[in-house]
Amino acid sequence: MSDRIDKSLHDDHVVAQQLKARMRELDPYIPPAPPFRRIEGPVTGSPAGLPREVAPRLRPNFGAPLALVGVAVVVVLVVGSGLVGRRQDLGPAVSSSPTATGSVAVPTPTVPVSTPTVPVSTPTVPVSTPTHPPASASPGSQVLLTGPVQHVAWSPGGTKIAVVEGASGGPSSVLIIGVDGTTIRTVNALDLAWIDDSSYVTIAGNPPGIIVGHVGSSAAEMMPGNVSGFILAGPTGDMALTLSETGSNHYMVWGAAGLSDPRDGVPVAFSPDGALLAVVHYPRACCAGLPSPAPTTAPGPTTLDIVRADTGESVRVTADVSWGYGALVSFSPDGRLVAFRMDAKDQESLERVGVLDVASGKVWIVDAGTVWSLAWTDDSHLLILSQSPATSTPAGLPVTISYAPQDVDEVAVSSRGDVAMPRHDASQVVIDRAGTQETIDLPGTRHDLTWSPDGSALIAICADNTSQTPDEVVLIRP
Amino acid sequence: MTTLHLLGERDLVIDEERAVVRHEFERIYYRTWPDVFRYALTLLRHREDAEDVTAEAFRRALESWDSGHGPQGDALPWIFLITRRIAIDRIRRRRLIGWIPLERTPEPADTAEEAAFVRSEVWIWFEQLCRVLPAQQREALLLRFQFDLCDADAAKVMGTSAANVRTKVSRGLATLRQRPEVLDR
Repeated sequence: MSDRIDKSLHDDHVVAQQLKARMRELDPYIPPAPPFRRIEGPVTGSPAGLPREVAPRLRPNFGAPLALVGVAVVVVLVVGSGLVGRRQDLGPAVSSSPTATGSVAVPTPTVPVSTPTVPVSTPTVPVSTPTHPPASASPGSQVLLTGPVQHVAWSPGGTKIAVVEGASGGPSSVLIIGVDGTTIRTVNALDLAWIDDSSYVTIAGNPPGIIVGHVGSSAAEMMPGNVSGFILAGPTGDMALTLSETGSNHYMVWGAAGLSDPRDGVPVAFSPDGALLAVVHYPRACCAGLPSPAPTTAPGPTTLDIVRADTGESVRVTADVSWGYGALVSFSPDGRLVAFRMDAKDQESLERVGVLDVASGKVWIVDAGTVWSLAWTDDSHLLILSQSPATSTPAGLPVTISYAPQDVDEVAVSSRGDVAMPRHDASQVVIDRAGTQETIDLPGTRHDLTWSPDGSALIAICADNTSQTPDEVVLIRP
Repeated sequence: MTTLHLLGERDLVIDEERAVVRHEFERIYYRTWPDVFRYALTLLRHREDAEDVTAEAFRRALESWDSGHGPQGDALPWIFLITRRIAIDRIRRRRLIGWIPLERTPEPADTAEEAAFVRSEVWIWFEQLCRVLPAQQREALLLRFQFDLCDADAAKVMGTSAANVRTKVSRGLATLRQRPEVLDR
């Protein structure tokens, strides 16, 4: 027994040394450290000839924004958790934080333009056979398509799936398929959002434009607008379309009343009833002409604005939202609360989650570690996916918080309340139904999950461990 | 001696203290830069991204250092923690950029240097290691054996418990023992 343990330890030591030796072969490819001054930033001379001072660097400054938008900071004493509602057994609960911030409502600027519609010939390409033949999969799942895929969108009735094909940055098209994988139509477009099960809005790339199309018809209408290709779909057929402009961000809302005037900001999330829209405002003075925002160098305030979707009227504004492509903003199922990722300026190793009460403007702050994802499982439960769960459920927060298991890198909650969690680095997804868990094997890792509207099926986009672009669309019926 | 004179002398002392503190960070910077780059490279698996993230990690570390939020112990795990957060953010954005067709600028092609690196024997081996070992096991092994962190420090970097690190290391070693060809030359 002792010999076996000794041998095992020896083997481990040998393996560790071999690993270390192989890793040392990377050394010739390690570039030298750049001069320290480059890290420090610009340097100014000291008038007294004394040790130099580092000039002020552009840095995310949420102190000034707070003053600029008039946000009052209120320190709340911890008087007890006061938590209500149930907590699913998905991970350890967190303790409490005493800090909360208030917020104020400010108007959102709008840019009026006329938006007549113009009938055009259809840009769609009807096809009758699948582009990618369905492949076999393990029980409970079915590979619908293989090939480069960006994302999918279920039709509101769950009868069709729009698959945006193509690698990132390259040409793309949208494949409309049935739930059995049969191709219904290929649309030459950058993105698609459903109005209902037979009508949709697409962003065309060439020529650029917004097009309303129909599954069973070649009729289509084009609307003016230089749209960048990003559609945020709402729950009731409404959608927000971002406009391509240099040095600013504007969007329009498509709804029953037609197309709205352009509004300022970047739309990030609709409320569950579609009445409210979360919009991020961030300064672009530093980023004009660049294809992406530069959140770490953008001066001035970055704010989260909750607006009425129909009019654009601002309902509530709060600061400190962490902005980038990965803005995490999520309305609670009743639309009363908005959870969003915040920057923890004083602790670079931490991120925070803010929970905004839309009616009162109060913001609770949760020290949440490294946040990957946020999801509301029901009216009383906020699920935070964090690589390093930290502390603190703020006192008085009218929801409970738990963390997803650490081997999970995404969560998706269905309309039935089922929680899908792909396991990190494993070709598996775990479906949690009120505490009962089912594990389903998948053909790859790096999943993006999208539940069908009725919560009966789940689409997972998979990739192998090395591919840059996901390349398998898998239908799961738990 | 006037009050203004006294205040001026106090400022000089503060400047000198700040210079000393900066010098200490500069020393840490040059000492740890290669390891921080290596760590970023193993997380991101892209050399130029790793350079960007390493620079950003030191910039943020310096900001924290200047504001009195430096490491409470060894600096390396602290900078690793900052590096990890930035790298994760970049991976998250890379995934989102993958499907958000915001502004369709084609991704720039790799430079000749990057392309040569990707074709190097050691990198081909590392990619093979990535296929064999799940990311967290790989990270735990490297933190423990490549960077010689203790279980507790590796746990702080990975945001988990020391016991969890030990489990991941044990599983990773078991996998490598079963796949000796991965480490053989």
